[in-house]
Amino acid sequence: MTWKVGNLELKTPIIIASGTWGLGDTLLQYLTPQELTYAVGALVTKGLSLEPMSGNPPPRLMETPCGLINSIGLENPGIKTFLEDYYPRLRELKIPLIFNLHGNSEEEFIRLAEILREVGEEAIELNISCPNVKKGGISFSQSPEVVFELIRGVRKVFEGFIAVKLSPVGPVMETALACESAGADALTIANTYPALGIISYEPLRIIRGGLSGPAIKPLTLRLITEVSSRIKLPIIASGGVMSGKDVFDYLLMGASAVQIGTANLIDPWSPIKIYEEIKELLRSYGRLLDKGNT
Amino acid sequence: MKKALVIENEPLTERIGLLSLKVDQHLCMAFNPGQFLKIGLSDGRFDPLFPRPFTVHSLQKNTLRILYQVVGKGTRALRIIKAGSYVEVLAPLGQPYPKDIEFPLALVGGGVGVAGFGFLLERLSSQRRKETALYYGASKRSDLVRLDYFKSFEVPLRLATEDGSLGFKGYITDLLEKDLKERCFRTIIACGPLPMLKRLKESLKGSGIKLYLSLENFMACGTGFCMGCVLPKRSGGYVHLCKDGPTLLAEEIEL
Ligand SMILES: Cc1cc2nc3c(=O)[nH]c(=O)nc-3n(C[C@H](O)[C@H](O)[C@H](O)COP(=O)(O)OP(=O)(O)OC[C@H]3O[C@@H](n4cnc5c(N)ncnc54)[C@H](O)[C@@H]3O)c2cc1C
Ligand SMILES: Cc1cc2nc3c(=O)[nH]c(=O)nc-3n(C[C@H](O)[C@H](O)[C@H](O)COP(=O)(O)O)c2cc1C
Ligand code: FES
Repeated sequence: MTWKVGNLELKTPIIIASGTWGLGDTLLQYLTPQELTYAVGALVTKGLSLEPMSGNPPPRLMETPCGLINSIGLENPGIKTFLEDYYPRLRELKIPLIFNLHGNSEEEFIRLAEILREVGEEAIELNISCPNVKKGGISFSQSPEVVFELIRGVRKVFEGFIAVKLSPVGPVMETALACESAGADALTIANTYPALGIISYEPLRIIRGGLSGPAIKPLTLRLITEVSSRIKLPIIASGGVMSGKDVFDYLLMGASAVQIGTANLIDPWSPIKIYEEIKELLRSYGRLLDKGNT
Repeated sequence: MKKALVIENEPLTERIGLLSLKVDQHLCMAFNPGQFLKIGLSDGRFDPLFPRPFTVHSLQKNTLRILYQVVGKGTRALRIIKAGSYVEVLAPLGQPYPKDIEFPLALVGGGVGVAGFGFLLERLSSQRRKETALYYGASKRSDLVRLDYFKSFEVPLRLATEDGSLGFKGYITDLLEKDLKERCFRTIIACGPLPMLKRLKESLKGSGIKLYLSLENFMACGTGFCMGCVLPKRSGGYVHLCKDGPTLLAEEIEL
């Protein structure tokens, strides 16, 4: 069985989400290559920028009921170092890699896409929705016209698969329409929800970040249902997947594949467990999906 | 995460407990003192969402023990776990205590921060133990737990309580500072509340003693996946406590 997300073909509908498996250097301490290739259709890299980013000062995390607020701030070594030091081992896994990209401007996104084209990589996810950086990130999601231009620009230099990762807040539908008309291949819906948590009163410690985890799943499920009813682009779901049922819910409401994020932080084996569960559900309810997957 | 059988969950004080888990041979071999594991309660609840990290307190004959203090909802849930039930564990996590310890060595524990030194003492040769002292402080006598166990290593056991109900009256750091006038240590490993660690770092500055601190903060993954558990490095940038620590050279980090 293969799973199609536009022109991207996956062996399973399970994708590991950006930022929830580090840079990949510790992944194989917890999962064997066999386990990974068995359960995982694709891996999305940590958000990568042109220059290294050291990320935000602590506190970067706070647990909330059934959720997590994170403010990592896209800590990453920059695309060059990533390609030199981390990529070779990941490539050996022979699991499709989707490069999550963070640019401060259209020019930076274009340059990142060019670099990936030069190494022969074929899939990118444009992160226009990170709530934790001062420049770029979520600010793109406020204006569909800017997103339209951005995708047109990237498309000129990159023929491969382009997914656009949307913020769940702001003009989501308009942005999705802009992605469609600008020639994106898929939408990832969605990134984390802008949130705030108070860690302590004295001293006052506040975290502003993005909320993820099972708490957000009903919100993102609703969003996907609405977007998929109006837009033809394939949708990759991301938000609070903890079980096979969560995956099936998203597939039923219009997603073509599903990302696992926070669940991975709880237990590195989550993708395998969830894959086993979704296989079971597909046997019972697969007929309810009308996706043209073979 | 793997399932582990709870052999015993013994309350030691109102807030401190000793949890004994049965673990397989493979895990016993894989663990080194200073490393930690994360423990989840395997009943499918999403609150608390994340398994909690705990240092290995003791690891003997397939029995792994942790010494825990109840501070919030995760540790409250741990407290009521019954012998015969199962928890989920992911281990081993983090880096062991440094390999190049120079002796004489002082281990300084504040409260349940003392936990990891049990496993370290279990693994030190009797020769090395002769060159090791254990400093252990708490607010009152009843909070100094596992004393018989710590005595069994036959290392000098230096105790302090804030109210003076057992041992030296005052902070454990005061006792150490007093002793340092007559005794010499080449390495100190300390674990406990942040003010204690800050105080030690401050008072040992320029002493030539190598100071390691076992630190904690909230961890989501414990595996290096989320990049959330950072502390600023003195040289710029951040360390990831779960991957690079939890025990770090004091001079390399900003507290
Ligand atoms: C490597 C490591 C080893 C450890 N070993 C031990 C051990 O051997 N024994 C032991 O008893 N404990 C140990 N701890 C501490 C233990 O993990 C915590 O006490 C536990 O996770 C608390 O969980 P809880 O749900 O009970 O409390 P929580 O509900 O999580 O609250 C605990 C406290 O942390 C505060 N807090 C919550 N989020 C943050 C944040 N982002 N930043 C700062 N403060 C926050 C809360 O306000 C509260 O005061 C260790 C921690 C680490 C990192
Ligand atoms: C610690 C952490 C780091 C993340 N880093 C990124 C990132 O670098 N780029 C990105 O597009 N999304 C990032 N995300 C968002 C996730 O990829 C995912 O879209 C989001 O967490 C919702 O899914 P979940 O509820 O399954 O976690 C991050 C999320 C978390 C929790
Ligand atoms: S807790 Fe996630 S990287 Fe350390």
